[in-house]
Amino acid sequence: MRPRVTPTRVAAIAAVIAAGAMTVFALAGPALAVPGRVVVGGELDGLYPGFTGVMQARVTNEYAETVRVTLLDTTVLDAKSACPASMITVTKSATEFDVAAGATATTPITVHMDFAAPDECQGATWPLHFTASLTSVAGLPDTGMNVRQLLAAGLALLALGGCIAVAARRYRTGGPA
Amino acid sequence: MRPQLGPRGVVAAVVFSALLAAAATVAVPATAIASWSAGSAPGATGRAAALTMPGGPTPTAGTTAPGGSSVLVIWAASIGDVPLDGYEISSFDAVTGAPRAVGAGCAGLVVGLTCTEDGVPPGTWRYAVTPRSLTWAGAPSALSDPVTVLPT
Repeated sequence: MRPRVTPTRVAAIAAVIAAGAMTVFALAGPALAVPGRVVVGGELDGLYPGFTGVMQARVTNEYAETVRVTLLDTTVLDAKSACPASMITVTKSATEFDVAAGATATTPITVHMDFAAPDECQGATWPLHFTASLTSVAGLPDTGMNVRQLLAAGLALLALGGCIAVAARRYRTGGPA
Repeated sequence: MRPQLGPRGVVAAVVFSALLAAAATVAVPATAIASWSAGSAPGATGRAAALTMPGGPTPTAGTTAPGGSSVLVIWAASIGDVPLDGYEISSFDAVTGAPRAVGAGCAGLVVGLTCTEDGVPPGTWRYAVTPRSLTWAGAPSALSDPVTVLPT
């Protein structure tokens, strides 16, 4: 009876593991970890009843790749109970725009104060919460891997697992190589 | 006898997995597949702030003619960034401090920087000016020097 584990078989299994690992890392490459975020901010002073003005909202891209802002939405919060958020209306960003890696872009946002804003709104400050909808052509923000990379890695790992399972079964049953 | 996987089979599996990975890489287009949202913490980096109204300038007041019952009130413009609609004029008894409804000529919203109140009752009065902008009001001015209206 031939030995169940031969040097050839061990080398073959090692080759499978190496091929799988190389496939994963070659496809994922340096984009496996892309730390970063997109920060949005903007301030506008000088409001009074009936005021309409333009705030330049800033979008800072801390990712290592260009992102596209498809929508910038602004939520106004209450300044105080007597001076609610409804006294302020803010428009959405009008057009899509790109922000290069590490750069800051601005987009105009129109801000209007209601004519009926009560006297209690004098000197009030309304917090603004921005939400940017973003797209990228290169990678997902969390892992840096795009869909095809993830799929290829998954398939490679699946094939690798199958090979190992077959080899292990052969080892247990002691069949000929 | 069940089929067994020998070294050739293992190598074939390696080749198969590599081809599968390559096929997946080619088959899936790499365009515009990531989308997500990002935002600011409320109040952290975004805000809209309102102005405050300027205070009223201290007016001067005097009768338009000796022994007359008309009082001319004059004041300077309030300085501020809020566009003003006008001024409200108030009158108070110089002795008791009690307010008095302002008569025709200075009642309501006065757009200019002067007004003449006609038919002022006999007594000694002080005047104050309050700037207005729609629903907003500035702080009332200090009181004017007293003006005396004699009985006719």
